[in-house]
Amino acid sequence: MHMILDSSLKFDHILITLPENMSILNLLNIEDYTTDGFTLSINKLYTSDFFGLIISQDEKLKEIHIQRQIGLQMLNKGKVVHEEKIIANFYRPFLEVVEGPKTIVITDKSDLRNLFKFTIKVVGFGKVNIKTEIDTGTDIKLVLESYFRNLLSGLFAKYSIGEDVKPDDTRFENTDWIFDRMESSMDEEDDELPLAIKQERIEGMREWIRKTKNIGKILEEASRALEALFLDLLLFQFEKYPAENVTLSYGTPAIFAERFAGSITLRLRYWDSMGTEYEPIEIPIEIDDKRGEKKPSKIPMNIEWIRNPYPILGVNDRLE
Amino acid sequence: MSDPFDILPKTAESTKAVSDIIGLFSKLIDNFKPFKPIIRVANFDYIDKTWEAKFLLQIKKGWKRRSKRKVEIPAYDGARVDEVLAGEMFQPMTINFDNIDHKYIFRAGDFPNCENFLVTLTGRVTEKFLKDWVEIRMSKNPTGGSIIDKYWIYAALKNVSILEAIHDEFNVERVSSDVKVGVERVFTSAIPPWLKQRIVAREELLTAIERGDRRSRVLAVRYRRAARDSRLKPFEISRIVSDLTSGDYFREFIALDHPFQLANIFPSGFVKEFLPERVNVQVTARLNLKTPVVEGYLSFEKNRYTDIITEKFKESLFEKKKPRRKMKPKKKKE
Repeated sequence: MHMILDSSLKFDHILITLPENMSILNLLNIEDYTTDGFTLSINKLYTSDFFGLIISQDEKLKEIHIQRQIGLQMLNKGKVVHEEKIIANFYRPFLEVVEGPKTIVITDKSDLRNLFKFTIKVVGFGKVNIKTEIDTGTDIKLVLESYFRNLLSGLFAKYSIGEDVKPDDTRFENTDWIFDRMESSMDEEDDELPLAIKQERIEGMREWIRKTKNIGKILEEASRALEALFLDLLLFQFEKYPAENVTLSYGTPAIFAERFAGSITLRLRYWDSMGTEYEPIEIPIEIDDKRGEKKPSKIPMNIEWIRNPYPILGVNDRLE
Repeated sequence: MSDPFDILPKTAESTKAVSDIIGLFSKLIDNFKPFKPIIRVANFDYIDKTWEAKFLLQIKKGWKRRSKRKVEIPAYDGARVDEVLAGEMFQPMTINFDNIDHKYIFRAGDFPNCENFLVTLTGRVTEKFLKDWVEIRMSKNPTGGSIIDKYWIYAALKNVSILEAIHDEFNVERVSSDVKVGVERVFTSAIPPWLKQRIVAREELLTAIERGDRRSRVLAVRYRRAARDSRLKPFEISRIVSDLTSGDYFREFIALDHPFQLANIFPSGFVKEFLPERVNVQVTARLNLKTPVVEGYLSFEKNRYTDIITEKFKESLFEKKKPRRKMKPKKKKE
């Protein structure tokens, strides 16, 4: 807040009264002041034409919108010559679950891509940054960015569809270290990337890349890979910004597993643009996995977002 | 409850960075004292982090001039003599510089036959000084509804105690704020639906391959056909996106309230070359005693920008090589 002062107004003190849970971060053009805890008494300004205060609200909001009243009095020889009540508005974003499954039954015929569907309403004001976590009961695993996952699996998929492998010279031998590294990283038990890549695939790719006659194809594949990378980025961007003012940092949440048992909890932790974290949303779901065949699967948690912006008072609100 | 004034200093003394500058100006005035100096104007440049001060010196003609009085300005303080103009005609003149002791020497006897001299001194200020001196605030969240996004900008002088040293006028030029204009959904919403479908087809294919699904061959054929019909050119996309987010193009969609001015525009984000998430718009304003506070809005014509991008994408980005073959609708297998 700031005030441009009328030169005809004579005063020797300005009193500012703050409500609870607010504090002053900075003073503008104030040379001398005293405080008694709730009141700021301004004794002297550097120049007589304006003064300002940078005020912050310290309490985490529970409501979407609150108003706080700041008192201002200007005194001359003990008499009030000007008085004002200044209303400060504070807003927060708010997430609400509108719809979501309580129980999910998975069978061999289930369409895994469309199994989980949620509707979440975003109300309040401002940008909201959401990080999703899936709690499987035993440990909490952050959902990996699908971008990196797709990038890797995309590479393997490209080199493994329908190409005949015939022995030829070994021009591309020096690529071996890449495959060695891939294999060794797959051996690690604590590998967090649940990529179900078969050993034969790596072998197939290793063979294929060694062939001289495949150079043209390799170059074409490289250009295709660039294109694929772009598509992955696009997909990730779609997932990261699913609605106006909503950021899903990790993209669409998904679970990766061979078989699910018992219950899981989808947790949405969220922050406003100033970095304040609010009470997270938790959605517990019972899962009954009736599949006969044990298959590693990625199951996305599809969320439909409904934006319901809070009406902001007036056009000239100074909002950060 | 805690004291809301706890974090403030107990008295509103100027910070060290500010008092250092006051000290420097006082010292310069002190050095020039024999020549009756008056600082006419001091300008600070927020972006370049420099200052420029103009001193008016009055050197009387007559016996005092002949007494060979001299003034020395040491260069070690960071003050540099930029130019000295003599008399009413503002004739530029040279000032001797002592290379050994690093100081400027103003020898009254060397001065031409006039009384007034305008000396321009320049120097640098620290970032800390500018931060201590100027308060800048702006919105991270736009207001203004769906057609136009509005971002509030505010800049104010915190402390004008610098006046203790400068008697006439000072300006803080180009006080700059970087407003981060969100475009995260502008580019993705401009992507044509068929490309979105293609991305989904690719996802399906990859999932099927991973799972060892029998359908993967069918899906692969379908995906390859889609990919052949429409060839993407990532480098061209990158070029077009950078054109669309360049200052020359983007500024057309930005409007600033008086007295803010547009300085610079550059995209930012995780993959700013392909799909920028934000466009940083650097705006500047001048602060001085007459206008110690400036406040206003930056407006971004989001809807119009999105429409134009959608159009450009349609025209040039995802041009299909040939029209897709029309397929006869197949009977659904039960």
